[in-house]
Amino acid sequence: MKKANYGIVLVFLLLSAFVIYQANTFEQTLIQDDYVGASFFPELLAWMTAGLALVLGWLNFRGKMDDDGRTLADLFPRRMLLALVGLGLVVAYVMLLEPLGFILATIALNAALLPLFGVRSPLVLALFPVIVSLSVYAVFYKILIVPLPEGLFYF
Amino acid sequence: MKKLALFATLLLLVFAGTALAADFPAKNIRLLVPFAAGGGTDAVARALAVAAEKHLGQPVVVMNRTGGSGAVGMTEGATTKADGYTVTMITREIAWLPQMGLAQITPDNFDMIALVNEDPAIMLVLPDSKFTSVKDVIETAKAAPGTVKFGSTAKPNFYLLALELNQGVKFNQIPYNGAAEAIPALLGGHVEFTMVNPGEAISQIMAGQLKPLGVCSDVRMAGLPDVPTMTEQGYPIVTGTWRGIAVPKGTPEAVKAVLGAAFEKAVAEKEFVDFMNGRTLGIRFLNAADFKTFVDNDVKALDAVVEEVKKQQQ
Amino acid sequence: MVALLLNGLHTTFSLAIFPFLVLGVAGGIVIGALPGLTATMGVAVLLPLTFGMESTRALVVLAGIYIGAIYGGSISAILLKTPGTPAAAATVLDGYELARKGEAAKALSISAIASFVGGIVSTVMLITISPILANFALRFGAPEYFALAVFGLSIIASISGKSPVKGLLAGMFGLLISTVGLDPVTSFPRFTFGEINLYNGLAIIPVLIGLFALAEAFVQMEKIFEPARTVETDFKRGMVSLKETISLLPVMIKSAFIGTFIGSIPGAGADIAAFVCYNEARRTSKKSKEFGTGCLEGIAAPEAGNNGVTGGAMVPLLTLGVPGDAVTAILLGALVIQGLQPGPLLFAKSPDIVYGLFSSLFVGNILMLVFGLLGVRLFCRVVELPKRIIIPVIVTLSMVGAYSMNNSLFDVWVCIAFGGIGYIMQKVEMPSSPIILAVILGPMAESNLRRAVLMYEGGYSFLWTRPITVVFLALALLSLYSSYKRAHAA
Repeated sequence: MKKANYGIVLVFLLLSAFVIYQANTFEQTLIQDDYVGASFFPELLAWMTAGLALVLGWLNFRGKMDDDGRTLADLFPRRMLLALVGLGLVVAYVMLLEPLGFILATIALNAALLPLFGVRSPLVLALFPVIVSLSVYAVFYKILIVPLPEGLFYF
Repeated sequence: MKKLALFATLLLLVFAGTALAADFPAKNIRLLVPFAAGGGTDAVARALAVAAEKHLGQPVVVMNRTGGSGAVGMTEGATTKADGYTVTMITREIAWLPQMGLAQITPDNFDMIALVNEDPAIMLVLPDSKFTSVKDVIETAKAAPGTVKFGSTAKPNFYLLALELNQGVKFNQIPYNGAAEAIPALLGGHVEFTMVNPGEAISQIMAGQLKPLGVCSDVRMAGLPDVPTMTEQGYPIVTGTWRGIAVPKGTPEAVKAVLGAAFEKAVAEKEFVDFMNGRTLGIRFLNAADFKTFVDNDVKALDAVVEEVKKQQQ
Repeated sequence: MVALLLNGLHTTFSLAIFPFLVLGVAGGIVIGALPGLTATMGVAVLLPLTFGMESTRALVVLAGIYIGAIYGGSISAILLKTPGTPAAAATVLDGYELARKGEAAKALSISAIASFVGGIVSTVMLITISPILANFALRFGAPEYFALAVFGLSIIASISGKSPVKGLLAGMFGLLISTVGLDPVTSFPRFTFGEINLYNGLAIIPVLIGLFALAEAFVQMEKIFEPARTVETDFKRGMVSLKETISLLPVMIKSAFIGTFIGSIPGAGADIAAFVCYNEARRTSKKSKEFGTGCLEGIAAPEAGNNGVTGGAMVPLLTLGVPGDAVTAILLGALVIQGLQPGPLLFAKSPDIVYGLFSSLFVGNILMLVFGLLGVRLFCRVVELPKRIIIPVIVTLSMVGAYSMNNSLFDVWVCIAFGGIGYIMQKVEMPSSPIILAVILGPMAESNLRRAVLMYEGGYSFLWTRPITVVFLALALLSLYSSYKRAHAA
């Protein structure tokens, strides 16, 4: 956890630096605000963030943060791959939404997630994705009139 | 193989093309609204959708796509497939967003279908305000530039700019997110006056909580016959907002004709007329050609305003 | 007034109204429980259906959806760590923890009871003192809103869990991302990188779903093959007892009052109220250390608070004709469509409709309690389902929820990105709730500070010359101080 905390410090210091750099490029628009201005808030926040990140770093250095002794390998174990594959499937799903349309893409997503989680029953694998997809479609599209993405096949 | 694929694609296109023109619409039509559910533009769109369904023979589904003063929704509406199945409710913002550098699209990216609504701006103060006429407001601002507090519903606010440029005065503009925030600010006395569309403040006007000083239209409003126009009071300021229906450039003529006819009838539907009158929203119908001229003229007028402001800033 | 109310009750229980109220409340609970579908959206999409209805019926259906949806958000917050609406984000803190201990039934039942208390108290306040509340609300100018936002932000330390520094950093991250989009005064596009979809900033719903629902799904995916030591939902521990309920009454009533006040201020809604009530309950509680580990007060306070908003938000609508929040903005539209003018004249001109609405709010809250308690067993089944079945459903619902608020695939990408961020944050023990609070309050703080400075033509004297502003800033300091003390006592 100690190393992870230093990671947080680094990420937030980089974030603050980026915000300050960006805020310096803000320009005047048609509307003038001579008092506070567009860059004041982001810059103030960035300095506060940097300050807090340094406080975290100091506390961590002094051993004042709760340290449960977990190493980076404990925090990010190999089974994390499961979550990463899940993330990849979700990304693929969103890319498929436009061409395939909601119903087909959703069936595909569920049909891919189930075996990943160790579902082996062919009946469940065949029926479950269809049921989930169609019932979500029915509730959102038919009852609540949310215009879900339509694919090349008009549904 | 390649030739075969090309042929198949062509065949599909031709088939799709003829099918489209012959029996348009064959499925749901989506009406893109570039503002949030619950706002004025959304209300007009939803009422219009209900009325247009009868004449299109297919459900009209309202789809809100908000963001960037309408830029997000209108950009999507202009760049979507030009098959007539996605129509967009465009608003006056389209006439100034490009000049501000806040949208990559212009009215030229659309084919206009119909103008459905136009509303003038109306100047409002509290009933016990020290201002009793438009003249008071302008004279006070002339005497002390930049001190009279104006509750602004938009950034930039073209109602106020019209007033400022016409009279050569400067107000202290306090920006709010729409009339829903600006009106309570005026009611609480946190700003001194505001300019909104009549429908946004009609209940406060009727209840005597807010006092209208002038309407920015050529003639007095039917719903508020006692409120003089700005022009009558010697300040020739005519400004307001409008909303209309448009489709992406390049939509087939036959499809546009079907849509145009349907929306013309929808605007005349009793249900729609009652709704608009009930909310003090002005109905103004213009067909495709007239609507295009109307928008082009408005763009020119706003261009001039933007140029003037830029000049002043330098 | 009593006669008018009785008359109203007569209307409510008539065959023309009552079935619609039942439908509205039940439908609202479902809408609220589904992530991504908020009270605002439910009311907006169903509004056109009411065009043809008689006025009272139309209003009653919409009001029913409103109360139902604000309560419904807590169900998914408790069971799935997925607040169905932003108003339920504070309920996750203790609700989900309690469910994890196997006491989902208890958490769900106290949430229903607290929501009911909040709703009833605020309805009573609406009927009796709405003119006073309205006058109070109008005194809120930009400086007051700024101070209220600062007070809200001071809560971050109190919802940060183990490590206040990490919580504050998460809050700063939330504030920073809330500056993305068009500048509130000059309209300059900040941090948008030419992406037009960022002009309005990051929408809260996709961020919320990503940080909670999707991130939790990823965490569960990782553990999917661990020996099944899933959540034990032991029904024998049952619902909340009468004794516990009575001991929670003071917290619930206080939160209901706070919720009603916040609701009556235009622009401040159920999400803010829930967090403020959580913080206030924790600050004054004897068991403040148990907050965040699944204590009943931590559920009762935000739930009573957010349903307290329902009555409060009607105050400006009915007395001033201005909406108290996004939902009442749509109700205002509904009134006008029916040919009614909200505002003081409404009471004089159409008392039957006003009192019909009042009594329907009463009955609607009772219905909500009944549905909520009857549903507890049913809802709990969700937790009993095997994880490998439930995660795909949660992922699907997250995607649809992120999409449906604005029909935008961009929002779905935002949701996925925050799913990843939330997942990593869980790994390094950074709390996610501060981000939500900051995203809600950041724009309110910034735009009102800048408005206030414009009003004072560059001066800052509003910070000490306006009484309400001073009170809220003092409360902010008090809240920070008590968090600091708590952290050092530990």
